[in-house]
Amino acid sequence: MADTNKRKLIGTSFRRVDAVGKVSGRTQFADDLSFPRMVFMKLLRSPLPHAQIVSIDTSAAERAPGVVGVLTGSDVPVPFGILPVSHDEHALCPDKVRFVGDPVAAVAALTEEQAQAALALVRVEWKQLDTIADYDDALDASKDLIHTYGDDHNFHKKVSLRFGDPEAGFKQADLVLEDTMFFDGNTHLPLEQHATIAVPEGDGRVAVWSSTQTPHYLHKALTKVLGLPAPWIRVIALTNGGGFGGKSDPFNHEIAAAKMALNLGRPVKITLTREEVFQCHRGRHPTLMSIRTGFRKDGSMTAQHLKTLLDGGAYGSYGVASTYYTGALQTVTYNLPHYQFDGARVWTNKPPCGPKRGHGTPQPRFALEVQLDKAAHALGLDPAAMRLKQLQPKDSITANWLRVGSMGLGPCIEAVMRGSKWLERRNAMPPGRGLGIACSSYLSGAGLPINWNHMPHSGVQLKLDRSGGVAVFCGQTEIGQGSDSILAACVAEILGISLQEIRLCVADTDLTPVDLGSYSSRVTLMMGNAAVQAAERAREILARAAAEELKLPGANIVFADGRVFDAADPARGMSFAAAVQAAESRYGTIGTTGSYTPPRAPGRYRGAGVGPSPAYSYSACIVEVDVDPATGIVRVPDVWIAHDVGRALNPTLVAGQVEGSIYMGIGEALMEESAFRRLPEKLSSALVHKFPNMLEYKSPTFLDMPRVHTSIIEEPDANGPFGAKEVGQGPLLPVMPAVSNAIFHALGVRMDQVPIHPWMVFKALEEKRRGGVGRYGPKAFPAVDYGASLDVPTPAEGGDGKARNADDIGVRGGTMSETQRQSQEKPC
Amino acid sequence: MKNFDWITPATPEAAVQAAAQAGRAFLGGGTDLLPLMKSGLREPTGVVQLKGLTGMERLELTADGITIGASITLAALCTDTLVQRSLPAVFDAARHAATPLVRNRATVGGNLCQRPRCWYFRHPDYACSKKGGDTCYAIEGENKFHAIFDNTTCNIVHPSNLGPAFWAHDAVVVVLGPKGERRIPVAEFWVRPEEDMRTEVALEPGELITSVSCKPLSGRSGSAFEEVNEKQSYDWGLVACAARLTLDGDKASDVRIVIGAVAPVPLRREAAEAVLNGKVPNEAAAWAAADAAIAGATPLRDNAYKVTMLRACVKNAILTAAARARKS
Repeated sequence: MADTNKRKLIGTSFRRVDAVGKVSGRTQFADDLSFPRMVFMKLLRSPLPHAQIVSIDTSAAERAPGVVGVLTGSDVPVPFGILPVSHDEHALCPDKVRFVGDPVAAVAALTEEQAQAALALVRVEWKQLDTIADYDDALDASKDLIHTYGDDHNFHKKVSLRFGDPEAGFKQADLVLEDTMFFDGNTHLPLEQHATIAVPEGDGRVAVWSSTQTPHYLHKALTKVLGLPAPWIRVIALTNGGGFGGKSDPFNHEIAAAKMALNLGRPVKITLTREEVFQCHRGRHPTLMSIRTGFRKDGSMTAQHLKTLLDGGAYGSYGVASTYYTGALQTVTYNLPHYQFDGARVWTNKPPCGPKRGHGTPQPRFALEVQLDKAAHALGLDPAAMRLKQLQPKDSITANWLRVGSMGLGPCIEAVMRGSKWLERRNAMPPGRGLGIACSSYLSGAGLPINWNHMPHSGVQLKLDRSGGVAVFCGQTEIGQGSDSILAACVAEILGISLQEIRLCVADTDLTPVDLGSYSSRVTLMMGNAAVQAAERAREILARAAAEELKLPGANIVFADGRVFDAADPARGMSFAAAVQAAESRYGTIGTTGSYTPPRAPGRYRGAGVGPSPAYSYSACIVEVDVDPATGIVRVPDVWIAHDVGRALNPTLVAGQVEGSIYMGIGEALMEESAFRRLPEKLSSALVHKFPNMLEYKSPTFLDMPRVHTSIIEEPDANGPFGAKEVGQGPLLPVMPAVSNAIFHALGVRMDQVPIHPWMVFKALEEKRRGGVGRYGPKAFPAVDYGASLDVPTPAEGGDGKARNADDIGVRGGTMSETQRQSQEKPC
Repeated sequence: MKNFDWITPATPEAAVQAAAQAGRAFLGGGTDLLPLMKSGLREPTGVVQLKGLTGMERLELTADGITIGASITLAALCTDTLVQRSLPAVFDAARHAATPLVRNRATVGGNLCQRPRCWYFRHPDYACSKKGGDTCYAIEGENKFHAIFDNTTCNIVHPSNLGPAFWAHDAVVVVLGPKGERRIPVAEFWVRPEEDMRTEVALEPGELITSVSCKPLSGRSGSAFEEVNEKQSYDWGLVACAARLTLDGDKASDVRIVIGAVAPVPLRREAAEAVLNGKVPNEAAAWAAADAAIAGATPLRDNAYKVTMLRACVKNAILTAAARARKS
């Protein structure tokens, strides 16, 4: 591989390949597409949070003006879901609804207005069931069940893992802190509403164009529900107008549109309203947490026991993974020798939660980082220095068997301390001003695929043209993060050509090799590695042909500036196109492939599949707050953040992801909440979104955005392409705890909950004035029976990655057994 | 949204005539009417647009004070040096409103006539008392943004920023209707839910606001408008206060304190004014006046914080107005 210094694209802020299209409005999003004879579909959604469908009568809707087709649950009876262990959703609910917004019928008409008008003519007779609104309802065993599978009653999933000997660890501690904290739910708020167009292609085939982050998984769900051979279904993901995890599940509207198109033999389009986007949700799980940690006098941790309780909403979605993720990454930042994690997810009659940026990890990260701040205060330590002293070493294995490779958290902490003048300013802040620090880490792609198999997670195929152009085929999806640009740059860099010579063909299940999708911060690392491999293979073929052509057998052939030449004598060479022609003359049409499969993780216990990653990114963040105790308003004038991205393939794109994360983090810290309210009793007492629109769902605007001081830290990881790690999610995580810690520094009150509203600041100040601790947060963690723990010896204890008592515990519930799945899959 | 006729009169008189037909609505900037139409709360058969009507876009010093045409945009108001100099509270109030995009469209008349933001009122499924039903859902429901004064029958808060600021400048609202022109002192412009549940302003059917006349500052006087927001744009204030005072030596006189976003209509707080009148408007006096301004608040389950917040807001408005008076 060429020396870093000689790289032309990688490491530079080259212009995004989609920049001109985006700024000139030429980029086509799903809702921009139109096909001849296209009709419009709308979904009738449940007005009730939990009810049996007694009967459904669509006859009047079928006769309504313009209506060409109507579907109900019996037309699409096969269940689906993103995780194989929770295929619990239907394109249209066949027998019961589980949240306000669950779809029960689809109507297609010549215009959207006609479809909308016809929905009102569908008559549904309901039998109401208990509304499971919150933890209390979910833990109440006398209430109706939302699903018939799961761990017990309205528990979807319970997990209990013990690594090492936490009790022994607590005995070694000089200080044990126990806190109850709450992280409210919030939603992704992509500017683009989901849209899908299904186009029948004759011969029973159908193409589905959609705003999805995961065309591969949508393809699988369509195949299952439509009952067609997989090759008959083509999924094309359009550039997404923002995803953030909200478009990572296969959705009911996508499947209903495909079924409708096949029935009608004409294209069917559906674009969701903003209200429906809120109903699709899959956002951050509201999570209640109990965290108990032992500390030595120097601030190092001896043990931790973390309990989480996730409010999952109405369906499984990614929930089993989300539950594990609330425990998995507690160990990768600071050395934690003994660790117990108990996690559980309950069903409630609300839109399903799922993977929002950070997926399950921001909540426990908040708890950990706020508690570290409390420990530093109690022990009289500087919270930044205390963190620096107990970093998880690079190239190590954590107590829960995660393999850490490169680890740049130390330089990150030092960078933000320097930038914010932490040591000089922290003890000299004006009234109401405070500085808080927090750190985090995130995956560069999940180590295991969603559908367990041994195949690559990402594939890239190259077609080299005798014109000198290179077509790059890959299933990856551009969701705004810049993955198209990274794909093109990885290939162009290796082949020494410019981005203009690259033609991309992406996210098309008929034409491109599988890439699992734009989730879990996996694309740069996995697609990048596959692209580098494909390009290196092409370079090898071309180099051989060029050496022959130049009559320089064994020469060191270099690819740069659109030329292929002898390293020893750069004048002896040819154009890239000539090299392709030389190769094509000798070997025929030139094409190569590359693929990437993550390394096997060392954990061997049940649950070890969630958490491993080829590489972990690291972030440190210092937030300055300006709090007015008279109004309770918290302003954030400045944020210093340093992110270890391994290697910045494009520093501008990296900084963009960091700044976007800060933006989202400020929203989660101070405003955003998936708040629900019950309708008054006389109106059905249903549980509805507390206003599903962008005005009432408060998220920051330009004026709320702090000055962001970004430092990019590069600790290259051997597993990343050119050393690169992720940046899409990690920098979000430290923002929320850093805000809370800064408020403590400013006012001396603890905010054990986000978002932090002015009235919470008032309450904590009032409590402090009355001589209390001055805290706002949940009072208690409910009694949850997590069951017996899997007992996993740590690497330090000489463990082998397996649980000691796996046989005693066996396979727990929480997931659909094969029989359950089959029974659910039977047509009604 | 349903189809409607689009009517473009040339004069205020023609607009009033066009609106006399049942089912028609006036459209200024449309920043409130269009959302109401989209959510099905209003379904006019005809929309009478007010852009470019004679005299409705003037902004000038007249014998009545400063006359602001009802079609003046908030953007024009908060970039005008006459307004900044003579009606600072109005200037502040316009500048705090919404976003630059909205301010470019939204008009003075529309700001006074905008309907409440109460989420029960705005949701088409709730037949709340304001929409002819028999219940105020906010009383027992979610009420963190609702009224802390006068909240026994309907818990809306009036969303207008300009309302309190105009009142602090003793404004007169000039309206034109089928029966001719009326001049309504701003104190009489607001309608409480107890008087008429269906409206917030004293306009007869078909009446149009043509202008608002405000009393400019004179002598050593200052005014200010303050609001407290969780979000700094795309949002309405949680509490607001407009204050005006004149310095008589170093003592305050002719004080006006009007609070907003805390009751179904803006409220003038004469008790607070009495506390400040005759005192040096320093921090202690401002807090004392603020205490008087919040006296009698009756917060609901979720909005007691607004009382604390309002106290700080009133204090801030007084101190800003006083500082401006000292500089004048």
